[in-house]
Amino acid sequence: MNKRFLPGKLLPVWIAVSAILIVVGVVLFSLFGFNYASPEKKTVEISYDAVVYIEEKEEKLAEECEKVFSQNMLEYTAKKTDRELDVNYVAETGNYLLVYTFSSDVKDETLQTAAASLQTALEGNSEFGGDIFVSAHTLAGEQFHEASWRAAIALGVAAIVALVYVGFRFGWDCAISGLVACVNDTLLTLALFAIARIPVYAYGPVLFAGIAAVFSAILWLAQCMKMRENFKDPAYTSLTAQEAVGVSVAGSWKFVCCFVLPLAVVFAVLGIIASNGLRLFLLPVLLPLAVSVYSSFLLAPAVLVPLKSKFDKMKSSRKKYVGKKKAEVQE
Amino acid sequence: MGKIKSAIVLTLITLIVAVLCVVCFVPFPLGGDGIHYFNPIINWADKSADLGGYQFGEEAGYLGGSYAVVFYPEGVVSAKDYADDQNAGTEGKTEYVAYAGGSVYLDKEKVCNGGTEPTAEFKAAFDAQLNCLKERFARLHSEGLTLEVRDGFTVYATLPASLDASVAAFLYYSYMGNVTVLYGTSSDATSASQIIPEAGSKAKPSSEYIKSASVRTNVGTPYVEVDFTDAGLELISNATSGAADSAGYLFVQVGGETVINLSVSEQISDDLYISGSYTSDSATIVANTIDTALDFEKMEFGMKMGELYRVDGGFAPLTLGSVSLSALDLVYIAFGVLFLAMAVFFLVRYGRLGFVNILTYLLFLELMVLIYWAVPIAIGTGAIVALAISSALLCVSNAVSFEAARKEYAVGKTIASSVKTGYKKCFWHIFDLHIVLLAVALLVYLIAITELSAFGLALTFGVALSGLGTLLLNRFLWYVTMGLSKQPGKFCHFKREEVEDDE
Repeated sequence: MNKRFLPGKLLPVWIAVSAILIVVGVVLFSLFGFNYASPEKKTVEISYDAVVYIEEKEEKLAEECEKVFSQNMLEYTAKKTDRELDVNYVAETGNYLLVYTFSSDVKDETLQTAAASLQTALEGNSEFGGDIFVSAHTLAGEQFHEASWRAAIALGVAAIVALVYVGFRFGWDCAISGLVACVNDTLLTLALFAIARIPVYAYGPVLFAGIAAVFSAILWLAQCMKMRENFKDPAYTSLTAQEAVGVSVAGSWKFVCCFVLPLAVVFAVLGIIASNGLRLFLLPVLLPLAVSVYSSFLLAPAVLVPLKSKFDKMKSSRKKYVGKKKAEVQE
Repeated sequence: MGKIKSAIVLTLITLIVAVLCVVCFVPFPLGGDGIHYFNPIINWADKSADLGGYQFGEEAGYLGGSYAVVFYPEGVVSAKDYADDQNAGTEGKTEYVAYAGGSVYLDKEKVCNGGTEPTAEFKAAFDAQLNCLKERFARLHSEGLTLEVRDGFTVYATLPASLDASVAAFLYYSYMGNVTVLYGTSSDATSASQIIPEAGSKAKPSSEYIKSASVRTNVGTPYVEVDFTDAGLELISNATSGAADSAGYLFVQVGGETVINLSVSEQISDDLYISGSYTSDSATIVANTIDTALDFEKMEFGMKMGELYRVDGGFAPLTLGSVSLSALDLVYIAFGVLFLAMAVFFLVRYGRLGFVNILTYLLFLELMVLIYWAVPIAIGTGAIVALAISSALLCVSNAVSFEAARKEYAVGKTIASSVKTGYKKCFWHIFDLHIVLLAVALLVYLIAITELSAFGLALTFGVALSGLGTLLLNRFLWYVTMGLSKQPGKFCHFKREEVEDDE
């Protein structure tokens, strides 16, 4: 007989793996917190008028700025050009603002020195006209907490609703296992973010934890669908709960991969090819996806086995009771 | 379906897909004058602050991005304004001290009390102003808004250009200070008399007279409601008692700036309901300005709005040699790569049946773009991720139905019977998945705000269309294309299981 995958036997192992990772995550979180991307950034702004634009000297101006930055050992992280608008007509005035963004680690004095050298260099260059002004700034972002807590509640409620549906469609043993998986995935995702030091924005950990709960519920739903279909097969009637769940889970990898792989490919391709802002969200989202794959294949089936045994026993005892009642009626 | 009928129906559907594709995605010149362009729906659709910028010709249309301003508290000026002030002459000039390495300049008397550092009172006042601004911006529930403290004592704020009345929001939100209500017989507020708060010894804070200001809608028309206390209502009622005989003007001001100006032709004896040319966004802005000013009444310093800027997509564009790619270009490329991968997979695995999936997907994509434009849903991170997830869901569901039919065909059924039984067998899988995702998406839309709410709404439409696409359109197209082939099994790359002969 082939060696079968018996998920229930490995339950202590998966509990230990999750517990160790979560405890390590909690310790690292209490020591260092999450690796929040700094809400602070520094900029150098160069305001110039239409003369530079009309004479097509914008590239030259940018070159001059970047030359001064490299002389001052400064490397910018982003560059953009904003257009000044008239407040009354919301029409362009012809003035522009070239903005260079630097890391928050850059010293204020270095940036001020670079800005002063740039002002001198640009003032001394007659091709850019006279009206050029350079200034250095430090910006610290403010957080809007309402969006974060509402996002967490929304995703949490959505995961619970999905599990209630699982309960009605596939049985409450499946719903309870799914709930355990959801809680585990939420905590494990937070722990892994703390352990792996993945840079996140302030809203990040809460959002990714919520996403993990939703992924977990959806993948467990897929497993439940497959189990329900498989358990109708007469070959499964002779198997114990442990064996039936094991055989079904082992055979469902293609089915679950149908959901996971396209999502992973979509997130990875969009994350790699698309721009920085999307990348900051799409690449870390692969972590909750991986965590939910772990729990839907290993942890949740292991939790389901004892529950299913108990629920099956309850069902069969109920059947006996009904039989007795019928017999009494016949008498 | 006969071969000719199948060919006609398929041609018609392909034509519809092609026309919709042009309408949704392809810009082209009109009239040959180089000025007029056909702007596809994707250009018309709102873009969030993350994406956008002017692309198809400088003035071709609005394509997302955001507006930005810097708020300066009274007594704080920018380095540029300070330099201009210095160059303008010396007479009657305010004395300033440099702050944050000369990034801003502070009024020596007003802010620093004659010293070189800002006073504790000024710092407390700035904190109150910042909290008030934060509350006002938070109440907009708008995706893509940012608020940053710049150089210690100024505030840099951005709002998405897709938000109606973004510029008005900046202007109104810079008004700090007491709420006052004035009444006069001329439309000029300077000649009106203050009625709230009551002048003289009875003076109390405005919150003793006005409970709140909020936005309401009546048959889809938004209006601002100002809810007075009994004391406030009595004062208003007394002041407007003669309005029936000679019309007057009522002004609601915040920090001395008028935010509501209305003519009164009868006595006001109830809460004030102000309708007019408000949109939902502009009514929210006016109501927020008044309501938050009631919470933050004790403002020692005013605030003013600096220059207004148009900021293109916030994502850093990619430059490859001489070609500069915007955030939107990168998203198009990413979707193009995924579309190609999907098409190759389906054509290799299912042969010409792959075209059925491609047609279904293209129609789904075009309908999603039309929905984004019509609802409207601003195209940003949330909408893009929702589109990606629902696209994956549609393709996976189609693949699941194809596989189910393949299994049935393998055991010897006819293709028509395989399709019917295959769909029957996988129906509940597809239904369960779609219904759960639909519930998740709806809940996220209803509970969350800003970007996640947009994601929820976009995913709700995406999941609904994916379900309809798989269970109705994909099956119908399969049925139609099947009529074109004499060997339907070969057409779908389906094979019979080989049965071992015992003899």
